[in-house]
Amino acid sequence: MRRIKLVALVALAVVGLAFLGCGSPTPKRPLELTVLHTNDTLGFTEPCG
Amino acid sequence: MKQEREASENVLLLDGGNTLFPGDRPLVQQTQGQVIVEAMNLLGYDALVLGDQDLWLGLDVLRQRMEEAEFPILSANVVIQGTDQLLATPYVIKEIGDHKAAIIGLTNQEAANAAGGAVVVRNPLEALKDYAAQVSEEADVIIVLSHLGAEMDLQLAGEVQGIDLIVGGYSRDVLDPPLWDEPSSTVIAQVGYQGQQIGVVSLEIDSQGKVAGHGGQVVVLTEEFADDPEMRAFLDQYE
Repeated sequence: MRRIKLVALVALAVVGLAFLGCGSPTPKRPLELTVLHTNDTLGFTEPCG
Repeated sequence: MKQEREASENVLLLDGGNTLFPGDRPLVQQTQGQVIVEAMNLLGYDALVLGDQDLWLGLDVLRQRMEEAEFPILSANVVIQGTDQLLATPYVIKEIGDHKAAIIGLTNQEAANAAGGAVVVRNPLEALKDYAAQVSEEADVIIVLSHLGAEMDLQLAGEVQGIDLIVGGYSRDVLDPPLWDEPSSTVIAQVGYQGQQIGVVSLEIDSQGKVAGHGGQVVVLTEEFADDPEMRAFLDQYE
């Protein structure tokens, strides 16, 4: 009886861990990223001299 | 910017430094760079890296501008003299789709003189190695926002693994299209100066967070681009 309880506990633990996502990580979807960039604008709110 | 944001789902807007200091601009001088930060807030910048000239504002004024900015002002290698404390945030992590992109800022050595000895500039390569290792535990895309010059950017790409994109400044090169460093699989971008151009880099990021495709161009901001009404109204309030 004790052995059956132990087996049941282990089975429950395995199922629980699976629910918690301890298996393979979910693959990430590829993405398209646009990066806009500026540099050395030296105060771009006014026209340059 | 609005056109690109309408056309693309995932857009970052970054600045490679030397942006805040007044120079010979009366309004920027009068407001000690505050008008620039407000404009960048309006434009929705995601991050800016400190360049040496930004430190000409002085640390007190610079800290005020950093408080006002609605975006992180970065530098992973400028340290307050006599301490081990960084002047600015070293990096920021952005969630983009299923991915996380780390943006690490690096500043040029001349910043030490610009701040009158109030800061020390740590070797950017060493700083990048440390922070790239740190952020790679959380982010799968690594972007360096560099005010070091294109030549140094190329060196960084070769010496630090895992850098996907370097957005640069300082040398004022116009890289059209952006460089692709094949050995390191890194895109290197820079776009002139004085706001005459804006750079557009397009990256295809695979499921592992690696660059599977890339492209880009430099857009020259000629008079054919009409003044944005919102930005015009913002600047008019200062007149």
